[in-house]
Amino acid sequence: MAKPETENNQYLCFTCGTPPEEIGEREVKKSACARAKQLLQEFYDAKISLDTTFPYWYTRTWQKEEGQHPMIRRGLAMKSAFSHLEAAIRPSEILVMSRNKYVRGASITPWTANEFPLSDEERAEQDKKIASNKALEEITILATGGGVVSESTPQVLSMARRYGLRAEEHAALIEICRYWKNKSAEDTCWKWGTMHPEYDTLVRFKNAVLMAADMEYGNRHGRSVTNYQIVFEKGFQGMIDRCRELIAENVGKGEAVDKIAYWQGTIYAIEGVQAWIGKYVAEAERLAALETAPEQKAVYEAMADRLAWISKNPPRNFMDALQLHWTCQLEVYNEMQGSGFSPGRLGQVLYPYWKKDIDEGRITREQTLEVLECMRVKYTELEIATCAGTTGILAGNTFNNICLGGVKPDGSSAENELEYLFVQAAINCPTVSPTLSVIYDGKLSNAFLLKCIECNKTGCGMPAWVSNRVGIEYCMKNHACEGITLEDARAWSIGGCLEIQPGAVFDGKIGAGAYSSSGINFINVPKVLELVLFDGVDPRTNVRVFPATGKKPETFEELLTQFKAYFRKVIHIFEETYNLKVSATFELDQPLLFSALSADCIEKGADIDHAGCRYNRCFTTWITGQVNATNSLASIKKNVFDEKNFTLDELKDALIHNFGYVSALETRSFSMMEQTKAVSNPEWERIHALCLRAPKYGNDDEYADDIYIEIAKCFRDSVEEITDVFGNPWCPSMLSVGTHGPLGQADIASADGRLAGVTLADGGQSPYPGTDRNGPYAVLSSATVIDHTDFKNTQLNMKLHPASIKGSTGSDKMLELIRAFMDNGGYHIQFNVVDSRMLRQAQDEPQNYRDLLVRVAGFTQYWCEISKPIQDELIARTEYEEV
Amino acid sequence: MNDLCKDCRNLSARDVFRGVCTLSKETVLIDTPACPKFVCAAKCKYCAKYQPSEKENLGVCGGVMVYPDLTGCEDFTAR
Amino acid sequence: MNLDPKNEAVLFDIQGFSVHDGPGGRTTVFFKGCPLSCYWCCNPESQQLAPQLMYRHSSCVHCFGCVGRGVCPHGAMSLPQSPEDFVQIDRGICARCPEPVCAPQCWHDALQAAGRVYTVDEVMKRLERERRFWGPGGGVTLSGGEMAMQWQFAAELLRRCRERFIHTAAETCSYAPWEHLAAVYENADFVFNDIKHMDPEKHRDATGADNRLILENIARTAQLARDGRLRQIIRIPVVENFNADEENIRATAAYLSEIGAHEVNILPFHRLGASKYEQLGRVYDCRDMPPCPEETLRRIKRQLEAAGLTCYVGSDTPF
Repeated sequence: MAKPETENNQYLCFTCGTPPEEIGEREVKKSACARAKQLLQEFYDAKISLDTTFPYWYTRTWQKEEGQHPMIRRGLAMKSAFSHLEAAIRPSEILVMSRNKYVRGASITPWTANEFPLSDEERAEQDKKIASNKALEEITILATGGGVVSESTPQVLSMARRYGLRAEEHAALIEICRYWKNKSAEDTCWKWGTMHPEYDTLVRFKNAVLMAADMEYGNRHGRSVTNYQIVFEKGFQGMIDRCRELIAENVGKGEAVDKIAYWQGTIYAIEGVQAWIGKYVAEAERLAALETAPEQKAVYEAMADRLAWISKNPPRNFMDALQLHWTCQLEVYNEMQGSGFSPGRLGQVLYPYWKKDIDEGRITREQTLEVLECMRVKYTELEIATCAGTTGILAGNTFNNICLGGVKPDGSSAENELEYLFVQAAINCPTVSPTLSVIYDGKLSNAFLLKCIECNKTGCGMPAWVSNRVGIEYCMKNHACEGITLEDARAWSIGGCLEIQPGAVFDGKIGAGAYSSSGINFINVPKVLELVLFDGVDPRTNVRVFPATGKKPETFEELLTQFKAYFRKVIHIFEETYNLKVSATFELDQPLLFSALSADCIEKGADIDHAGCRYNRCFTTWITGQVNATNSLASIKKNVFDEKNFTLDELKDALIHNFGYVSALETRSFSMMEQTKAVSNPEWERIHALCLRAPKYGNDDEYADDIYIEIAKCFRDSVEEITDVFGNPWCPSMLSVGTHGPLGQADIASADGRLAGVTLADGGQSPYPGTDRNGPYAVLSSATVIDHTDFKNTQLNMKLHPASIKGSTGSDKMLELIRAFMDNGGYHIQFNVVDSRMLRQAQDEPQNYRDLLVRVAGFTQYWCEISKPIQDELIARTEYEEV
Repeated sequence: MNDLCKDCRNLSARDVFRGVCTLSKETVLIDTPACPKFVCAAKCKYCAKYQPSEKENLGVCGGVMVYPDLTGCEDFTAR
Repeated sequence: MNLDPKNEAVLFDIQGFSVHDGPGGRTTVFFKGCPLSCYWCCNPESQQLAPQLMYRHSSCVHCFGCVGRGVCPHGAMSLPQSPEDFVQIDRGICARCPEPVCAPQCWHDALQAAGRVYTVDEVMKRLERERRFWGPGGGVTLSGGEMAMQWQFAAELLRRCRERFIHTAAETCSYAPWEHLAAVYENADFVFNDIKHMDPEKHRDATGADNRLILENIARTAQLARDGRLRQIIRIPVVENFNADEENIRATAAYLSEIGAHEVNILPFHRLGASKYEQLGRVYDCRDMPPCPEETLRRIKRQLEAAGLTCYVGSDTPF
């Protein structure tokens, strides 16, 4: 009987024509507790807001303390900023505190990045001098739904097309940003960059949009794992005391002056945090006094007691530990410019406290679930303030990743019952953050793994699945130059959405820490190929990027060699100038609080920017669009050189004319599924058809996959040829976050048949939507042709129609698929389980789908807060009916 | 001065448009005129030491730049 | 077409991650050609054995370049009366063509070839690549069309799979000489046998052939199952207004009990679109096919279970 399976099968019964009338619902749907529901509603109602207090007080004190040692100056400014924050507490909260008084509050960190709030005129002067993000921002399209404030009113101004700022605070914010002119990391780093003899090359690269936004001030720190062991063992006061001890021990050593300044600066910063917590204690007490309902009064009183305790002491129980960890997350977000400060293996870190409480009857599982659901909302409220270019990349996510499973440092399974509750909380209360990842290992129990599959079936896109073996091997390889131990490797966790970091898991001793994964923010690989084809000129902007060679490649090998040469040059220039630029930041925005939490900063007397971490080889270069570049090179090889279907010149003509289509930038439709023909030219149509039909990555076809391997090897080797500011080789990594939108918008039509302005492939191993014709196993085959342990991460997104994994047998099969992928060397796989028609409807009626969550690329986001180019790509990725 | 909810000590912030009155427990638009129970927040514009400047929404206090809606200062003294 | 029957066959698809065609993750091989022509068939291109031309109207931009450039060497294509209309294809001429050479010449992919010749080696190569991801219970499933129409290839393929420790399954309408089926079953672990209708006239009317041979073969297959040689799953495509009535189900249950079969998977069929028929230049058979109500499925399940049979509904199977 004929019944091939397609995405639209409900009952296996058709492969053509109309799918079932009802849009396929996701199989698993549960319900959050009342308190979390209330918090969620408040979240939905809240607009993203900027607070001026923190940058104001920081700047004021920084000015006052001019002349002090930079670390002291930094500590005092931090203390002032934290201690002046206002507290706000909501009746529905149990876990309390936010970055500032707003529900979805962020604040700018002008000592790092001060330009984006300034007017276009003020910035234009700066933009001319430096390699700015201007070109990128011009083509970046942002989301406008949900909590985004995209338009100004008389009372509230829209900043960077996302944040609301009170109009009456605008003048002060501008003055603050102006103060930091020529002092901030953003303004000074490019000056340091000009030490590079080829700085102008960087400017040309940026103008051609060969890269997404700068990280050295746009997303300076993060993709790291926050370590709670030190604060859990000592408490804040204990950390201050330890710093005092170390100062006393070192005053006799002249070589330790900077260390002494670091310890003293740390003391000031922690004191600031203590004062800030004190504001919440006072507010909780005030609300308790005003409150008449006895139950709520008791909640406020317990809150006040807990906060007062953790402002100084190690946690006594699970709730103390949970609140203390949350306070640490907030302090880290307030202190640094960055994203993706991940809580690591939080379930394993909290487990000893929880187990004791459960055994001794201090907490129940229901109470645990309730607070974990509330915690999910709190994490989702986290916002960071970034310029529009960076927002286009991060898509409004802050990338707080909790890892489950894996093994302990001694190699035994690390799963525990608290982690089940973490998963259940995500099933009951799906939210953007924290994102969950399972570190898959053969030692994990089936029950645990199937619980995680159940969560996948809610469609919230989590947990993602990562391979323990790849993580451990990567750590041993990448940090070999730093003498990493197997224990520290086993304790690895994910920083940000996917970066492998030696982790920080409790085991009765202080765990490892690693530096931020920061660096070159997504090289536009298809653009490199454009430069090869157009002899060094960017065809979109006509910027001459490379000197003309006047030569035309006669063979495919010549073309590929030129591509690799350009690729290598792009990587080197970006990394070399980054080293210079980032060095400018090291005396400006040292992360004192994050360093205090990290092994081994306090003991070494150095913050993370001065190599205080145990492991520091983390400067990373990412790429986007390598799948499109692979497919384009395969098309050129086949059509131009092997079969001689058309010449390179004929191809270029068709590309420049977008194969006769209107540009996506005009139609505002960014997926290949909805493009509009402008001109009917049979020759372009012929070339276009042949380009679309050429071998594509994702089909287990060596013709394309071998090229993918070449690109990956060239990438890896070129990246590692340059050393970073700590003397370690740079690290290659493959993701996309949201960069496949803006970088796709900057690319013209390509030889794989993709049209101008259309969003690129997502992730690192995902085939281009619509081009995987041989089914999921072929995709997995293509995805495992490289050695995943060569990269700080790789990323594969897969769509599954809810019908294909229905029931318990469906869950088993999904798990088998994941296991098989891991066994064959894959690092990461994640799933979007959704009917694409739901996405289309949600695009038309966003107000009816406020709580719809989808998996983008390493992170989950609310559909309504995703920009249209990424929405279009998600729909295309999810659906391609066989008609 | 036309006092608005946003200037009241009893307002608990939520975002740049709205907050919650801790007395009535109602959600309010913060630009709404305040009710008779208004108590001024510890903002510079209500402080005895505040001196406005020629620039709108900026002021001076003890030689340092401040702004009318700035809060949190330990030396706040109501007029 | 001159094929080596043991080594070459016309297939129209090979699909991975087929989760409902047997245990575990599987790769399904779809054979072209079927002795029946059931009116609810969703893949009409599977009925004819030879490769066929499919013309997708929705992709056609009416450029008539195919006619203009003379892409058909046999003159099967001609211009329509009006430019809004579609290319006229003489299917009689078209059927003579061993392989649609015209298809790659349409630059808008409106012309597609359904089916091509594969060798056993080629299929094995694909299976060896895919098996890395099946998981422990998975394997290959032969489907189509009707795999028994190219039984020598099917039997050889399953023999090679057994040699390589690949779990094997086969789906069949059972309308074939028993010797052919038996040759395939030699190396089959799982077998899916369809029953469309118990009444021979109604069966002929709906599928083009009566059911006598089919029922005999299913009984023989049940014997093999009882001997422990394979596992037999009976499949009933439930089509409202055709075979869903109580009488037919009663008769089916009685027959199955008699032959000793005991596992049944009922599959409800919805109304399908005309699209693929149109692409083949065939008239769509628009016999009424309303969706099958939940209550009908529940009733059928009750009837079958009352007769002592195990009944799985749709994709809710233990494999």
